[in-house]
Amino acid sequence: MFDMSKMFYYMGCTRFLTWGSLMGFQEKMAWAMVVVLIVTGVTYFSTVFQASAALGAVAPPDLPLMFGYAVFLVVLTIVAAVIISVSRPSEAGEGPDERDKLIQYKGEAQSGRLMGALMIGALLGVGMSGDANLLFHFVFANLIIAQIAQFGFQILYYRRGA
Amino acid sequence: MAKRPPITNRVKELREAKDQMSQSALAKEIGVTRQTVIAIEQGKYSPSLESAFRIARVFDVGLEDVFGWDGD
Repeated sequence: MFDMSKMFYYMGCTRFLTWGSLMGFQEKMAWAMVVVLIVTGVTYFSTVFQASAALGAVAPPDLPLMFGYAVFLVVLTIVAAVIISVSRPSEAGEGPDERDKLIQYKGEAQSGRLMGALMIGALLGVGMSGDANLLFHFVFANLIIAQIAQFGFQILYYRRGA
Repeated sequence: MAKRPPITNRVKELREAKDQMSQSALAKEIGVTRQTVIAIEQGKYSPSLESAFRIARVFDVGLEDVFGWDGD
């Protein structure tokens, strides 16, 4: 008997596989980094929010937490790179070509501008309050947002054309 | 949607005329990824001058036989 759900499932798989084959290693890594940075960033800041709620004030910077964040980020990045490499081994050894490099430069330039704007906003908004802990968290968040934006802009240029 | 570069090309046409050369084979010849060849053929990316010369040499034609100008 004809099963519509199976048909949609296979159509979805085919579409995903076709889409995946249109992306090179660098673009897949950009997608992976967006996900990894969002997951690690949300995890880090949810811990900071919980600590702040427990303290009743903005929690001070926590070096062990930051170290844990960095390790979590590195581990997830390695896992993502391994999964992407295994899924298409022929592309695994490919370094960035001229288009990848151009897109990376453009992504870095755009995220650099965004980070500058966010830093000025943090300095003006939080700096005036005199709360150094809040300023620290804003600056750290800005760094993460700028990184997400960098890979987001790269994806945009890959999809739309460099 | 991004503005298309004013450079047109006949890469797909020339590639298919050359014994149905694959995108991967062309990519390997000119030292880029297959996705970059796809982007060039779709007009989403204008290759560097060096890659443009390499493409022309693969097809054994002149640069202007591969690339054209479609702007003002």
